[in-house]
Amino acid sequence: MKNLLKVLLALFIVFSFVGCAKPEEKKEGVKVALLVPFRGDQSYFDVTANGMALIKAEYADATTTIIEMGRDQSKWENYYLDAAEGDYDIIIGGNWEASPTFEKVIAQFPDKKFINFDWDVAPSNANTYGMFYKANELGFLTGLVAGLVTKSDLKYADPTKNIIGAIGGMEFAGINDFLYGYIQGAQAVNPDVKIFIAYANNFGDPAKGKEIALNQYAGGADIIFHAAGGTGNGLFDAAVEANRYALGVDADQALLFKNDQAKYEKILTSGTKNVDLAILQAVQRHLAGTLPYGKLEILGIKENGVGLAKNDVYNALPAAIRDIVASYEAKVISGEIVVKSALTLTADEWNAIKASVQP
Amino acid sequence: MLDVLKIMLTPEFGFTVIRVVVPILFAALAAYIANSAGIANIAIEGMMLMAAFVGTVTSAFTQNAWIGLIAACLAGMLMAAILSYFTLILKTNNILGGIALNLFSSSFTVFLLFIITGSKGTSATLSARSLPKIVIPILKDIPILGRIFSGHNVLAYIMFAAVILVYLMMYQTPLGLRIKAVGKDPHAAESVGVDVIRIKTIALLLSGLLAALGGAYMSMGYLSFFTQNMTAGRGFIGLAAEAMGMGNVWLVTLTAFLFGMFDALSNALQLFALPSEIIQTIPYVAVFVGIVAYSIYEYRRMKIKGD
Repeated sequence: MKNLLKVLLALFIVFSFVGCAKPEEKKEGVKVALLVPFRGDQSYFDVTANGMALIKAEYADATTTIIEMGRDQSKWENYYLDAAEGDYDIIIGGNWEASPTFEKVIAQFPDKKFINFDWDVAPSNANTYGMFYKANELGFLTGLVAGLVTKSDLKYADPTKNIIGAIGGMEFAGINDFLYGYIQGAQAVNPDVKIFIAYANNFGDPAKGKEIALNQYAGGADIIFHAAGGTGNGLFDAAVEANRYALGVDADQALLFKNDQAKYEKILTSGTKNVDLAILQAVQRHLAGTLPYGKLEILGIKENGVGLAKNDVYNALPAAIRDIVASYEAKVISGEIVVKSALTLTADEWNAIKASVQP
Repeated sequence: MLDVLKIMLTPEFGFTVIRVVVPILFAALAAYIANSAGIANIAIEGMMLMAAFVGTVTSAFTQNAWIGLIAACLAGMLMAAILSYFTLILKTNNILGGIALNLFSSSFTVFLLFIITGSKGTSATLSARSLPKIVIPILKDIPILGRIFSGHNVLAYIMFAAVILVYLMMYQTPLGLRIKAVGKDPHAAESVGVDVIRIKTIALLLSGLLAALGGAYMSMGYLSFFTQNMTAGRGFIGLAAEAMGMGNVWLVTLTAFLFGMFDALSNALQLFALPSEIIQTIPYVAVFVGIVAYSIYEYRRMKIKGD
């Protein structure tokens, strides 16, 4: 019996090695792995994961794998190592939290191809392509909408006050970039507009988000934008309660509330960070052999990296508003308007900007 | 400074404080009962979260917020029953048991959420029901009080009732006396024929019920949906309020309101161009000042006793 087991074990070991050594015999589609901490935020990471669905839709023979690494950062390195050792043509990972770990693993696999889907630092390895998004241009677009809506005669707007609001998750340059763009967008179409800016200091406390939003609505704001992740979910509840408007971020957030008309109609649009499209474009360019590995590309409105969710609610807005938004969008694309970024601002400069728009 | 006073002296601010304080005070009362029975129930956060989840999902499936509320209460009490089984019967360390339950609810709610809605983030796609807001007939016409106390979620009124009921139970009933006796000295209580485990279990179940009401408020009153870890530490703030209440239910309530007030203030102050770092430290500074004041008071008291 024991001998039989030994033989079986030996056979097993031998054949498992045979499996590994087998060369690629048939031509298969591209194999892409995406590593994200988790899915289900109805926002950023879900949009990112949707990139895999887009690849699958574009290339029927492609194999896509989404690996959820979990929130325990100490485990991320192993997930990246496993993926890098795996049989993938392209390994996609990153974002501001995971990139240092990702880069560390990349350095050990010079023969593999990697894409960092969201980091503002240029890749340090020649086999990595980096992408980053112009959050300020995203904020600019939502700011245009807010600035126009607040002086319009829309049902829930209050043209007498000319105040709009914004909620950030935490006060750091990455979030301020959204808000700075928002300020510039609103001022471009409505120079006298006043803007409440608040921070929840938390990306996962919707009750806090609702509380801050209710305060801003009570203070006279009639439309509020958020860059606060899960905290922002509370904003939409507040919009229903106060009968005012809200703007989503990263994904088309109105989609969540399709069966809740009262909420759906108040989320006029969302500033979208099109990580999914960006991933698809990068894979397309990889297959065409034109992806500039070793480089970082910063994707704005022009490159389709950010945009507005032009859903039913948005399309129901008066054409006058949409035309103005479209004209400014075109100006940013043509380079006639350059949206300034908060990434290079000092704390004092940023505080001065905030104070200047304070109602 | 004048602006701060201007905010705090409006009836709307009073209304906001009540709205903010509900989950904190329910958690504090839950901690109070458990602590009176000699159990540090740090699983309140997890009980709240589980109740918030079960309540909103049940209300979505039955399309009845009240059935949702009952289910939430049962969920909270079930969590408490699990905790009491492990800590009282199997003699697990209750802090470890509490940590285990907190971790369990944090992940298990997401797991169930994913099974039910296909999303790991929020239950927004379910059309869940919320508990009603109540406008109190005569009170609403009284100038200032009406705007502070009328129009809250029904759970806010249950909260006020709960404070009084908990007080009456602890000070006016044999059960309250036994809970305190068990908490002070279980051996002495046992020697006069009190079933210690039974009393502690009852206290924990009541604690779970109160925590569940706070949790149900989060997902069916304060907000209209469940999101992962939506209680965001309110259970622990309740525990802190209880600790500063020195075993007195009125002081516990007062401290919870103080925390709620500073939380509401930190939100309201964001309308002004003040540095957000300073505003956001206000609730923590308040807790710190409270603890220092309490320590000074205790120190003086001990000194007088010593003399």
